[in-house]
Amino acid sequence: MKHLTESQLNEYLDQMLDYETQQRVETHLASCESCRLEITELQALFISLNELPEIPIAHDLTLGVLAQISKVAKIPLLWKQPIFLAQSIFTFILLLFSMPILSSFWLQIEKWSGEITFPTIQTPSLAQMVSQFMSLLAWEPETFFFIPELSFSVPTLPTLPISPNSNLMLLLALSAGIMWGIGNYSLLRSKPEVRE
Amino acid sequence: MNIAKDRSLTKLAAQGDQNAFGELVQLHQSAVFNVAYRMLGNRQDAEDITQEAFLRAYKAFNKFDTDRPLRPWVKKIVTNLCLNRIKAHRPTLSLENGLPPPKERKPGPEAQSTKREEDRQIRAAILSLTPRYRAVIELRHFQDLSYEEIAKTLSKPLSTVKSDLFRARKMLAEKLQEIKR
Repeated sequence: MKHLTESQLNEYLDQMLDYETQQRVETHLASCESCRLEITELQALFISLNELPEIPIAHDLTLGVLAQISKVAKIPLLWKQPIFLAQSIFTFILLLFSMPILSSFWLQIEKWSGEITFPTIQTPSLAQMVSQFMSLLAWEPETFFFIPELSFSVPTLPTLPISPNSNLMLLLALSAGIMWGIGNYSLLRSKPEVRE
Repeated sequence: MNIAKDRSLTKLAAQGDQNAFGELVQLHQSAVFNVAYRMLGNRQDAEDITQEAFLRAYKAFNKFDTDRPLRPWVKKIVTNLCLNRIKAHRPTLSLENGLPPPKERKPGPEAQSTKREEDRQIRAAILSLTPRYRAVIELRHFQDLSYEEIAKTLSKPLSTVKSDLFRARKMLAEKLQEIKR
């Protein structure tokens, strides 16, 4: 006789079988002593586990938990953080002040872009290519390579309205660096903790 | 346990009310501690990990549906924390002697002592299982989770959970037979 499977035993004990299967299992149990014995042992285990009492906790953990919670300072939303707010305001002011400089620079760039001539490449004609291929077959190294002719003119580069060596430039670079650093620090600090 | 009170405390705690969370800890600490104690067999470790579980729960409140009861969720957290600790430390089994007597049942002193000894042996038998078997017994028998829920909690395939559960039960049943002999 085929005995009950692990799955059938499990699900019978956990009362997870559908009515028909349960009936079949019970019919089998009535006639199979080996399976009946196994079920009885497992049922005894279920009873023992159900009767296992809870043990009382020796210390109240509430204060300990609350103390730990207060250490986990809640990080406010990004826009509510003073450092982030200050950074945004400062960046906005910086942007306002840089508008005249940027606009004058932009005019130069527009002018400069009009002067650019793109490189022209002299490509060989089909006849030249055939001739070169024939030379290659005949192994005439002096006519082996055809180097396309390149020609382009270097436009005058735009100049900054302020000197790169000026104190103002240094101040601007420093401010931008500081704001960049603060911004990154602020973002990293706001990263949520790894949850469980 | 008052379900409505539990839910309103949970909602308050989720909004950052620490006093409400304190009340929840008081309400559920014993149940959560018992999970840890069955899994670890050591009172001190169980208390530490219970505390840790509540802390994790507090930090992860944004992931929790506050309409659901809190206790099963914290119990799952503590079960996983225990499994992690067992994997990390592989502690030797320890069931302290002199556990305080259980609160329920008050038979005569002799019967009480026999029952206590039997309970201690059952706990020891659970602790003698490998962590994976111990976890399925804990989740199925003490936390009443379905096979699917166990599989989800332990991140294991359903078939593995079923076979682990069967083997764990068989082993425990055999140990129980020895205890009763």
